Amino acid sequence: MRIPGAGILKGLRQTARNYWAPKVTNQYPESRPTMPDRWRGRLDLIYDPFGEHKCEVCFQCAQVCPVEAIDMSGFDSTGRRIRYGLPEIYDERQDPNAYRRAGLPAEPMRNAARWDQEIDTPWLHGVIDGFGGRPEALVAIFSAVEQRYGYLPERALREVSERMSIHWAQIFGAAGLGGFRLLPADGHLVTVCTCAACRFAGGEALLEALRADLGVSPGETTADGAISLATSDEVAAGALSPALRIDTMVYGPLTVEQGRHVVAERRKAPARTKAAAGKAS
Amino acid sequence: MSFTTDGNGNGRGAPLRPEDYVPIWPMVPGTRKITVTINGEEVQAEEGQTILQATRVLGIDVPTLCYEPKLAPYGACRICVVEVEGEENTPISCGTQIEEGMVITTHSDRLVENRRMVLELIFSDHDAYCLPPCQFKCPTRVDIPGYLKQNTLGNWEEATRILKRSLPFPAILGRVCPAPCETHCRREEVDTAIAIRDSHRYCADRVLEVDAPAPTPWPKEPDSGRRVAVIGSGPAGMSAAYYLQLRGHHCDVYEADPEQGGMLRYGIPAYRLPKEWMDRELNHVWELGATFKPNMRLGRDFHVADLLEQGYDAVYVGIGCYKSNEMGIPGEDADGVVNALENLYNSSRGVEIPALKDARVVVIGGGFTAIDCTRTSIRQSAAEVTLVYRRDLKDMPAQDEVHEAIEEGARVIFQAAPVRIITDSKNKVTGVEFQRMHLGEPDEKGRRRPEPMPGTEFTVSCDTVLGAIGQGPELSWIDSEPGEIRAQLETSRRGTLVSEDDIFRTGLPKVFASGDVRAGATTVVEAIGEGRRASYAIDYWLRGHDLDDPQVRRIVSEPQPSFLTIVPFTDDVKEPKAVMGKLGPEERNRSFGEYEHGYTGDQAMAEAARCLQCTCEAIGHCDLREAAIEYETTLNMAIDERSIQDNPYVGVNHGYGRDETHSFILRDYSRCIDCGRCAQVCKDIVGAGCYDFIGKGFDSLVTTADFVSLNETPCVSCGRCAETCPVGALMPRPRTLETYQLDMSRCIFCGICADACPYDALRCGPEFEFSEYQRDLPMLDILEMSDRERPTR
Amino acid sequence: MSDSSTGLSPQIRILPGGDQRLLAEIGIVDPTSLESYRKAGGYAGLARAVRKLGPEGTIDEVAAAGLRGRGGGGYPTADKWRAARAAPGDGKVVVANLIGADPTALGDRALAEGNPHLLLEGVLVAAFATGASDAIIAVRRDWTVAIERLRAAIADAEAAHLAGYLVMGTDFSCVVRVWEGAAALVAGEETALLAALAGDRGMPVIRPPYPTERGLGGAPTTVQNGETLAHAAWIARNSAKKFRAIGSKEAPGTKLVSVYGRVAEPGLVEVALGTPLSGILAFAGGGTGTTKAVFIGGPGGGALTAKELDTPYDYASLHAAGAGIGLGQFLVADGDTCMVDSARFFLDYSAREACGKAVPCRIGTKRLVETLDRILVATPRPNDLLLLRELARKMTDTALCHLEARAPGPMLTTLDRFPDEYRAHAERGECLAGACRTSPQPPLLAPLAGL
Repeated sequence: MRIPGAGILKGLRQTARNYWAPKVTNQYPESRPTMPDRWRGRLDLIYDPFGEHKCEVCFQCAQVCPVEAIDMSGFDSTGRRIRYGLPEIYDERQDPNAYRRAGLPAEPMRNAARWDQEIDTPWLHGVIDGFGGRPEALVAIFSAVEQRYGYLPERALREVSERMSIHWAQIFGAAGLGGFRLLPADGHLVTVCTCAACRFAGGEALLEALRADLGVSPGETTADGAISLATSDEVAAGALSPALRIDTMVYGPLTVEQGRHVVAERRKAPARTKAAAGKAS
Repeated sequence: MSFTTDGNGNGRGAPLRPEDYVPIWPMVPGTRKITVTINGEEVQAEEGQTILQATRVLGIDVPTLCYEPKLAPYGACRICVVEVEGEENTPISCGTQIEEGMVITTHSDRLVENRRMVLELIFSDHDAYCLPPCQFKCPTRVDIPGYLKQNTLGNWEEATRILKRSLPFPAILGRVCPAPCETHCRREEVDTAIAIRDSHRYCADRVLEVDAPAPTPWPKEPDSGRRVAVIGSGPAGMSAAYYLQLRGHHCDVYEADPEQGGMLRYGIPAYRLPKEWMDRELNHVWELGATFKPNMRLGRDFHVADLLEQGYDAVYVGIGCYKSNEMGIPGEDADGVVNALENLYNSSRGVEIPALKDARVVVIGGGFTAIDCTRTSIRQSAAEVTLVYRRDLKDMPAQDEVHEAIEEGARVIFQAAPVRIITDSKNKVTGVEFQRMHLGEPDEKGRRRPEPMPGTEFTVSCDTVLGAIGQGPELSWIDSEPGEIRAQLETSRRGTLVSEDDIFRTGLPKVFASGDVRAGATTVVEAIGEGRRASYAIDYWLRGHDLDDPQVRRIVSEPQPSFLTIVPFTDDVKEPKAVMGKLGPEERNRSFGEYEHGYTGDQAMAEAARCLQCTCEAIGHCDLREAAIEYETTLNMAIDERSIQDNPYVGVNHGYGRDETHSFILRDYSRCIDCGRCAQVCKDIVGAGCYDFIGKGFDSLVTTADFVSLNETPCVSCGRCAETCPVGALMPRPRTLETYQLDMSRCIFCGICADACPYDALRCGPEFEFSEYQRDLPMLDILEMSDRERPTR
Repeated sequence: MSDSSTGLSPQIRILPGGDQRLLAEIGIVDPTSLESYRKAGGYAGLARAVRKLGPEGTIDEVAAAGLRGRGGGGYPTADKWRAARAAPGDGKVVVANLIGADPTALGDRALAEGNPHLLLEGVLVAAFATGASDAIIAVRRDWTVAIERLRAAIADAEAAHLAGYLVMGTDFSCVVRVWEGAAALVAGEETALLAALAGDRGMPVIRPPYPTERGLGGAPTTVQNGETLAHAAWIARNSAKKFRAIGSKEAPGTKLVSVYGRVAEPGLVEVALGTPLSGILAFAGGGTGTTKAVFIGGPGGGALTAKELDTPYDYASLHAAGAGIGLGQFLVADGDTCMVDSARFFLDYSAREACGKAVPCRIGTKRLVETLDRILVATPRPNDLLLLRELARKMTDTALCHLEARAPGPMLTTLDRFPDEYRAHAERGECLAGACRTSPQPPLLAPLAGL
């Protein structure tokens, strides 16, 4: 049933109710409502008691901003201008190099000896994926890389770091402790075992003889680049002591004469070159 | 960074105390309480706590270097070891959970030895140092690299402010100090030492020249309502009054003479220290509100007992040494034997001394007083002046000035001692008989003892003899004190007033004494240093601390570890030392005016720039240094006796470089102690993982992979590593904000930025809208905005 | 690269004689064949444990046998298993430690290469007893033959339902994996091994919590030396009573000992615990010269003189003598061996292999080496000999891991037993053994303290 004018009354009732109701409009900014403590209002920079900005220009806020809304710049103690960068130069922001992130030109510091080695990326990915990319497989992956290249090339380590999402420093630290070679050896790598068994079976005399023969100390390479001499406790010669390892082959037990002979023989054989190492499977 | 905010963006201003950092425990309410015994006392701890957490809550101090409260215990430093009954070895407290009924000892000889062993091992491979040797050798411990750095910038006022933190009168000391600092300067290893004294003379002079209130090292504290009577307005007394006044205690300075300065005024000739210039600097004490009471001699015009009756809360005795020692030879009472101090006293007041005019003068002694007497005599137009010293030139305390005295015409005889004074029938001096000395075996101080050689006597004929073989304090006033006070003021065999080391308290609890009256006649800089240190002890006492508390004693005594000097500075470019201009000997012979001109501004800046700044930036907040002081690991491979190695573990050590490439974090690997805190924080809290242990064995170091610059790592410049570093291996470098722009068209008000800020410098404020901005104006400069509408509530 | 008669790498030579128990089957059983192993009675132990004894029963059996850890610590195996079993938590893990921290110890390698199934059986028995559903065999990365054979053995066993899911038709499941570990001394340390297994740099972690409470991935973890596990398999198969048939009362059973140094026949021998040292020396054909001393336990052990050769080879006696059983290293030194130089060698090894975490270990071992260097060339500082003992004592007191605590062992024992050699070196630069090429120095004016 329709009653004429009912709609108007209904509307007037609403008007009347609101007319008498308390006003909720605040005269901002003269009077300010109490906001909840965790109200996320406008961003403020906070001052310290000396009236200086507390901001240390660390770019943390810009870094975490999910919508890339913050850009900031400042000066460091040497007067160098640093800037986080506009969101338009998105690539720069994502760069791990702080120089480039700040829009400055920078040459990366690379250890050329380690960096020059080209690596077989698909092969390495295959190795990593073969272990399921689990962090525990790090040593095994290093092992495989060392097996192939004779040391751990930096590009390979970077690739491992990236693919396995392990921090670069951690990769480097683990490789250092695990007894891996971080630098390539020129020519054949002759490793004389210095473990207790070899030492007490005459390993010292063997090392002395080789040192005299080659004219180099452990850690050095002969002038012609054919032989790099090294020592290690980890040849694991066991009953073969005294022993030495040339590249990956363990020889022992050796008398001094035999040791010199073996090294002299191997010296004639062509050493694995860097290019060959890259291609070999 | 150590300031809290009140939520309105304004710092409350109160620095956080160390106890504010103690982790709040229990983390889980309702944890079971357990009873354990720590150091013989039964205490309550909570289940799940480690021993270290429990001791921290209980306020028991267990040292640690690698413990980071935010992370799981790591156990690399091994100095938080404790003894637990029933355990064979000493477990580390940060990793051992506390259990019901444990009997724990946190301090014992065995633990101290173990901790000291670890610290000494760390130091044996710690290619760093806390204080530079110059600062270490200065009795006032003035921050020498600090003020020199300001000098290089020409900030004379700031430099003076730094100086005045521990040396209230840099202009005075710039003229009269024997500069023990300069003999230990590391610049010596490159070319020649820095002119430290001349440099602070220059900057302090510049400040004195301008007619403005003197800079104070820190704002004067509000009046504490305490009153201190300072007896003596010499270097010790004025220094004590200066710092007491700054601390808000009112000082009345009593002086026997009509004018201030004590020995500075009456013992040091004007050609070395112009008196009006000295007054200018000493007046800083009165500017701070102290009251000067001249012509009040202790024992004549007032007594210590009177002061105590008048309600002074403390009395400081700094009356110096005014009694000349007697030579103890026949004829000392003859006419023509002049008291050296009296002579200086009179001539510095401008009185002409008839006994010196046109006389042949013999000065006996080798200290500063003897030299001053010699040079004063020349200026008093003596006919001939002879200085006689019983040791050699190199043993002479005032050896630098000897050459100047010779230039001015004095004659110097070494290795001779007086036997008797020859007089005529009227008891008038006609000469002095000397005996040659030869130097015997060195005594424990390293000075060779002179021994007489019989049969080598010779005579120097003269009219006047000045004996300047040392002074002692005048302590006859003690006898005029009432009995109970007299009984408690003790004098030593050397005739000095006895007060305790470090806290300078005499037998009377309210009476303190330091300076020459306690130590015997020393240098001005010693006296100023002693005055300042006594003022700190008095301040602690007036604030209600117990001076017998070992903690307070340790703070007041300002202990310093001394470290291995294994830093060869040989690569620096050699620059000559700047030399001050001075008058020629002919002119200065006749004048009591100051003869050294001082530096020009450029010279002072150039000289300051030669400083190698061999100081540690982290000196104030280095846990290692604190532990080293507590466990007394003084590794004296010290500067003066280079062959002695107190650290038994000294061996090969690493000299790593310093990485300054990163604009926010300064890294000094040499200071790294391999605690691993930065690596953990960076990996587990920040998630950047810039650091790890690199290498193996002795050569392992916590650093970036392959030692690359931090710029090459995923470093987010948060500074948390520098914050957690217990030593100075990682330090934030200050940066200043230039622009801070927020893109309003993107901002979603999520507040993550404010959460992420490690410095609490950013917040989501209570203002809920940007009424004056529009979304289509993309960039909003918050910096400019916050400067404009700075919250003032 | 394998020896045809035993199927082992040429690095491992098994000496005839001794009380062969674990080694008995090597050379008889084909390491690559599951059938061959089963024919020799293999997996009967596992079957007995799974079907008859039950987990608690297995632990009781091991307890009754009195088996103790063969990795050097000598901790009762049953106690460890019980703790791991009792610890709350899912996904418990058994880790077989075949890192062989010291490359001179050959026992684990011989087992892994010569009889991988025995090792695997031991792992499974331990997993069953502790309630673990995962097992990891951590092998030193350069033992390629061992890794290959273990992997093959696991595959074979899984195919025969002896490992993996639902072992032997019961509801016991255990997935066994082989993990390649670093070739480093510290990598064999229990907690360092777990850290490396988690993908971190393999550095020791503070204990407690012990791995049996919270280990790999937070789960209770039993880390057990490979040889111990092989013994456990043997016990499960042959009963505790038989196990106790040889060996001493406190330490029953056998131990694999690697004898090397100045002996006629260096190699690996299995002896009953409690065998006198002279007996072990005899298995290796005796010393090549006049035997002066034996270093037992490698870098963490100590030296005993020729006069002490009747000392029984067991935990308590060696510990009392200042040495340790270690991984079974048994180094024989003759009259031409300088004891000071030997002590320096072992310390230097420890110093080079330090992980760098704990300060006393990183710097302390280096300082000990430097001190010995000074003594060797007769330029000691006045208190150097005192310093050796002091520093060694404090290092042991504050140690993070047992490697650090035991590192000064060879130095301390030689210092006790051969003071003359130290004195001759320190005061005159003279080597009594005639081995060191140091030039004699003029004698010191003041006698040295500490001897």
